[in-house]
Amino acid sequence: MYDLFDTIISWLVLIFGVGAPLFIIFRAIGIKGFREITVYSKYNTFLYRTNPVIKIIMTITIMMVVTTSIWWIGAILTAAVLSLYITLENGKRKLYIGSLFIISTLVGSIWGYAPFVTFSTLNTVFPHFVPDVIWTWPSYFAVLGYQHTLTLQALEYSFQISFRSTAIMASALILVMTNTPTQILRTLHKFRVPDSIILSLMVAMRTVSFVLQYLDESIKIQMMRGLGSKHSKFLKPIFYFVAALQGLVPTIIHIMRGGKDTGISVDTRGFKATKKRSYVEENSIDHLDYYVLVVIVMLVIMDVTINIMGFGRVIPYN
Amino acid sequence: MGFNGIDGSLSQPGIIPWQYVTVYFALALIFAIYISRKNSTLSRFKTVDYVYTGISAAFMIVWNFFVGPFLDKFVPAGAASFIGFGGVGEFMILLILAGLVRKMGIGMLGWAVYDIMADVYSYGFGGEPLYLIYKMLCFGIIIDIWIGITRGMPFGVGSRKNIKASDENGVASKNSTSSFVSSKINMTKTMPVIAGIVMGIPWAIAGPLFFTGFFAPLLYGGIVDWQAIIFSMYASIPSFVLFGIIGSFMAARVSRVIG
Repeated sequence: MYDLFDTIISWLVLIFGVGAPLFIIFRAIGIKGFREITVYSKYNTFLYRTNPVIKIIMTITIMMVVTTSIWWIGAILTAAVLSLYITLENGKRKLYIGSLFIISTLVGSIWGYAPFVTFSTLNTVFPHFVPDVIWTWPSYFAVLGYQHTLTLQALEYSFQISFRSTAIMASALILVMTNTPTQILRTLHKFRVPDSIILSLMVAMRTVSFVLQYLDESIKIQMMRGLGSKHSKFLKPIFYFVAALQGLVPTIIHIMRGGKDTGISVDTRGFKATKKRSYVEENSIDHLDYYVLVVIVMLVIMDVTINIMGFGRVIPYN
Repeated sequence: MGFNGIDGSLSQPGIIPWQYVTVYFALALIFAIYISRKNSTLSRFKTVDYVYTGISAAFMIVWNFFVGPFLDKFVPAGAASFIGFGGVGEFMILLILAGLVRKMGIGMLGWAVYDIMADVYSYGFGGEPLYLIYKMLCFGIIIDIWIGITRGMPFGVGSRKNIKASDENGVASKNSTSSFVSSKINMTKTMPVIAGIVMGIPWAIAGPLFFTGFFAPLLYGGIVDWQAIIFSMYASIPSFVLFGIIGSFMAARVSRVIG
């Protein structure tokens, strides 16, 4: 009796770990939501007026701070950067989607790490710890590579390393949401990236949202044709996925066909006819950017102080 | 913390000596240029080629940040070293790009554009330009050399005549149906299979070998464990070959439709 109970709970936990992020991604955010947080929309607050170069420096700084300091700095920075979303156009919705995205990443990576952390890894993180066993997996779970027991420490460790990437993700998305592709690419031009590669990048940035949009349409059309309609509602996410896979090649062909026209129209407008590009609008650094720079410098100072105080990176990377 | 998040430690125990890596990169580049000159696949990119590259990079972004990580959730960790959907998807999309452009350098250009895009969207330019070099010279060059070897027909598309089966016989007999004449193989059916195998194996090897063996310690002092490297090299070969074959068929199809 106990065995059956044990098995059922274990599978429920396993399904939660796999299913919760998927549920958030497909049901709560949806492909449309992804589009909203990866695409520029016109608005005018301080984040939109900040120079893209400064924003890239900001992201790099956040990365350096997160990777060299203790985990809760990463958590605080994630929350801080996410709260900036409220100043964007349609801010509440962007904050909502951004938070869901970060949460799904967190849940996903916690469950991606926790059951697999070995005792020896935990021992280097928490020296001489006494494992608090929360759950003992059935023995056949070893086939999945699961450790025999799930400890509180394993959860804690996974929770901590999950914050490594969230702040960087959140701040990189700000750059994409607040600057047009042209502005971002002009920045790259300053770093001496060749024009032809900039053209590729420009096309890429524009296309990301198209890919999401066309995939979404293709999935919806498959669903309208009745894919998976005879099965229970719980299997719907699986059919959603099947539809996405089926729509992949047609979407690629459709978008690549459009690419041919883009190439012709870029050529007829004299792409690379002259050596130098000219701009109508200049990207200049003004006093607002200096304020952001001050924040960046403060972040670095905080990082150094925190390291001196002994809150440096204590968790080993694998 | 060194320059831009690069630790720059070249003396990690077990690391591949940097001289070897440099010499390999130089030789691979020279060979790629030689073979593509000889078989005349070395030509200038047209504007539309850059547009295709951009579109592929967009697909790779969508795949690698929105689709791949969630597919990976379905893979039990015991099998995680056998298949990683992120890497496999990148491989497939680059194959499609190679099928469309078919010129020397498209593999490297595709990686370069995608790498910068990935930095803008998620990674934030940390560790550059080392990642750029790693992606271009470890993976991109494989596609370029294959394009050179096949004289600009990496997936058999572009050729109308059937070729005589000599060394490809083993592969051909497995995959061609009985309707084919025994001495001739259908190029459009067998070439993708050969391409998937020939590119998939070095692709699977290059990842663990160069990243864990050289770039990881160089970038952030990662630990070099040769047993793990060799294991993950063997473990990832089947999935890369399998998805390489699928990707090659997709590439052949897309390039036949678009031309």
